[in-house]
Order: sequence, then structure tokens, then C-alpha cells
Amino acid sequence: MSVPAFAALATAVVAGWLALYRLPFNDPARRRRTALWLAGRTGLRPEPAFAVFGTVVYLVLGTLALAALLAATPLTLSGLFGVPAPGMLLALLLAVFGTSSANILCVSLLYRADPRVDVPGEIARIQWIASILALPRHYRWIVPAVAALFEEVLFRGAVLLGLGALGSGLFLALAISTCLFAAGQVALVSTRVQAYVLGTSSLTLGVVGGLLTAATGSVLPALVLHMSFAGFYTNLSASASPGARPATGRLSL
Amino acid sequence: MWSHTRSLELLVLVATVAPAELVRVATAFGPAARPGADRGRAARLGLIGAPAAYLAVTALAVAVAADGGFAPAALTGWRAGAPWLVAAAVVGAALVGAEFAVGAVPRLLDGTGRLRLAVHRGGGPAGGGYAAAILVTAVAEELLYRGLWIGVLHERLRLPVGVAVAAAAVAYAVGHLFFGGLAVVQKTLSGVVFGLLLVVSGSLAVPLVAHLAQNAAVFALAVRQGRGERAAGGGVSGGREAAG
Repeated sequence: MSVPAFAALATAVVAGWLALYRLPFNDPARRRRTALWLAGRTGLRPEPAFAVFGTVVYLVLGTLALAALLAATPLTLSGLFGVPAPGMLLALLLAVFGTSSANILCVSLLYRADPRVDVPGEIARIQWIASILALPRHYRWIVPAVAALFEEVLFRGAVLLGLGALGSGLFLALAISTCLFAAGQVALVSTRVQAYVLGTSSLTLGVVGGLLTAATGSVLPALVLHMSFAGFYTNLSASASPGARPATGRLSL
Repeated sequence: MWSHTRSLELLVLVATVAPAELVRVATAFGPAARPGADRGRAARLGLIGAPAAYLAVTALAVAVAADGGFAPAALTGWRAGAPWLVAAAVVGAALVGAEFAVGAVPRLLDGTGRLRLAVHRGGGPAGGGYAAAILVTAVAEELLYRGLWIGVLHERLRLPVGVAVAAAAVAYAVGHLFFGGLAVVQKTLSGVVFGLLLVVSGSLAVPLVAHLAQNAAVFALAVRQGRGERAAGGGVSGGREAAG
């Protein structure tokens, strides 16, 4: 397959993944009905039952997207998980610091433009993060960690390394994989501030994680980077001011 | 597929923009970022945290470059004669005046207020802690933005030297967003001058001495300003200049 054809396929697959995940439950009434049905079947409260359901839908659709993309490249799933040289630990640590500082720089610019903006509150109101906050505290890290695993294998593994295996240059592959990843994150938010924060942070994560993946040929360092980042955001949302917490009983996906 | 070294070179550049922002992990997202929060606490945190962040990120970046076999000559060349070092000290001290001039331009243009000069001090007294903070930060910044950035951009990525100097100056300046948008413009000017000193002299010691001289002058002004504030019982405003 040629590089442009694979880029088009990746765009279509990612768009399809997110549309199938997002659109059926865009209607709050349908979300509520589904949550109550799930609660009746599982014995869980509606909010965590729907959070688990949403995560499973996201991951099942993501698995299908991953299979479709890997089939179009000479890569294998296990081949994406090579163990990097020990020296790459330094690069990973630098990447963690660099991603955090670039991300905070973007938020600082936002505060400079509008000092009244409530970033923690906005993040806590993003639907998938609000659904994580409905889970018991000790299980909250699992959802972002598993989502990070899927997103890294798909965007840095199948898309970035797939483009490389098909003969793409580094900059083009970085641009395509990062833009698809960021567009996917922005598609899951509902306000401008959320779009700015998630958009800039996923651009940073995409570029830095992409460079780590390109340097090692493995998604493992980028996966660790993404998990640390996702964990930071989840805890941040959980510690947001009381006014920023999602209203009790509100259902979110 | 792709060059391992090239990927690491780009990573070192992307991951070292504005390390001081790491300090804001504790402040930018939480209640301390909101209007009415204790700005003094954030400033005190910055006095310790910013140099620590610069040191940690610089050490990591240099270690990655050394481990990856792409430490540039700009980072490892330190030999410079006494005339160069004296000239660097003069240029560094003169840069304080140039930064004040840049800082005064907006006030002169809008004609508001009486022009008074002040330095950013991080909210605390200009004591030994402040001196150590601006010393450590200057060393880390020269290693990072002049040695590593200009070296990687020019020697490794083959960009024209002017582009490398300008890009490194902007990356260095963005790290001063802490002090406001004007400080970024002021520090871009200083960054270009430090970069040119490196390119013309071929020694990292020259921009380092200039940077240390600039910070020494700022420290002396901060001490003087602190005495003046205590005597007057108030703050000052006008064309500000930041160390770092």
C-alpha cells in the first residue's frame, strides 16, 4: 500500500472508530436509559456501569480499528513492543519533563489570555473524564491506562510505524499520526477551553511520544509517557474545586 | 526505518522548551492560579523550583546527547582568551540597559505613567538564595540553549547559523513567560546576542560570562531596589528587567 493510501485509510478508520463510539450516545436521554438498563442487569450504580460500558465500547471499536490498520502494513502487533536499550530511560525521563512543561506552557498562555478560566473544572467536565470520576477512587487509573495503551498502539504503533514501514519520511509520519490523535481527542470534548487544553496536550504528547517511538521502534516508552500523563490529568480532575465536579447523578460517557 | 539519532536530536529540542513551567505543576492548574491566590507563595516556589527544573532538564538533555553520540562541538568548546571574556562581561552588562530600553518602549509609546526602572526579583529579597538561583539558571540556560540548541540545529540538522541562533533565542525567551510577555521580547534580544557571541568566539565560555555579567548587574540593581522599597515603603513600576 502507498503512503497516501495508508494515510487516507488511517483517517477513515479513526473517524469511524470515534463516530461509532460517540454518536449513538450523544443524546443524554439515551445515555440515561442505557445506564439504567445496565444498572438493572449488573447491580452496579448507573454512573459506574455506564463508565465501564463506554470504556468497553471504546476498546472494542479500537481493537477493530487497530486490526484494520495493522493488516494494511507489514507490521505485527508483537513487533510494536520491542524492548528499548537501557539508555532510552534518560530519553523517556526527558520526554516526561518536556511534555509536562510544554503542556503547562500552553495552559499558562490560556490563563494569560483569560485569567478567569477554570482549567481543572473544564477538564473534569469532559464527558469521558467525568465518567472516570464516577468510578471508585482506586479503579480510576485503569480506564486512562487502558485507553493510553490502545491509543499508543494505534497512533504511535500502527499509524506512525506503519507509515514508516511503507516508506514515509519522519516528519510526514509524525504530522499525520499526531494530527489524527489530536483530532480524535478534540472530537470527544464539548467546549472551546476543553478543545484547547486537550488539543494542545495531545499535540505535545503526539510529537514527543512519536519521537520516542521513532527513536526506539517500540511503543513502550511512549506508552509509559502517555500513562503518566493520563494519570496526572485524572488526578488533577479529581482534585478540581468542588464547583467544578460533575453534578451528582449526571450521566456521562 | 528512521535515524535513531535524528529522532533523539529532535526530541532533545522539543522537550527542552520552557523547563521552568514545570514549577507551575503545583500552581497553574490548582487554586493558586486563580485571581486572589497567594502570588508570593508561587514566587517563592519559583525561586527554588525554576533553577532546579532547568538543572534537571539540562542534565537529562546533555546526557541523552552524550549517550546518543551527538553532543555538538558548540557544547564542548570552552577555550577562550582573556580579551573575549572581558568583552563578554561588558556586553552582558550593556544588555541590561538594552533590555530596559526594550521594556520602556511600550510606556513611552502610550505615554502613561512616569518611567521608572525595576527588576523582577521573584517576590522575595535579593539575598543569597536569589543570587544562587540566577547563577544556576544562567549556567543551565547557556548549556541548553547556546551549547545544545545552536549546536544541534546548526551542526547536526544543518540549518543556517542565523536560523539556529534565532530559534535558540526564542526557545530561551519562551522560558521567561513567567515574567510576562514583555520579558519574552527582552530575552529574545539577549538570546540573539548570547548566540552571536558563541558563534563568533567559538567558545561557550563567552556567552556564559556575558550572561553571568548580566545577571550580576541585575542582582546589584535588585539589592539597590530592595533598599529603595524599604525606604519608600512601596513598590516600583516601569521598564522591568528579569535575571535568568
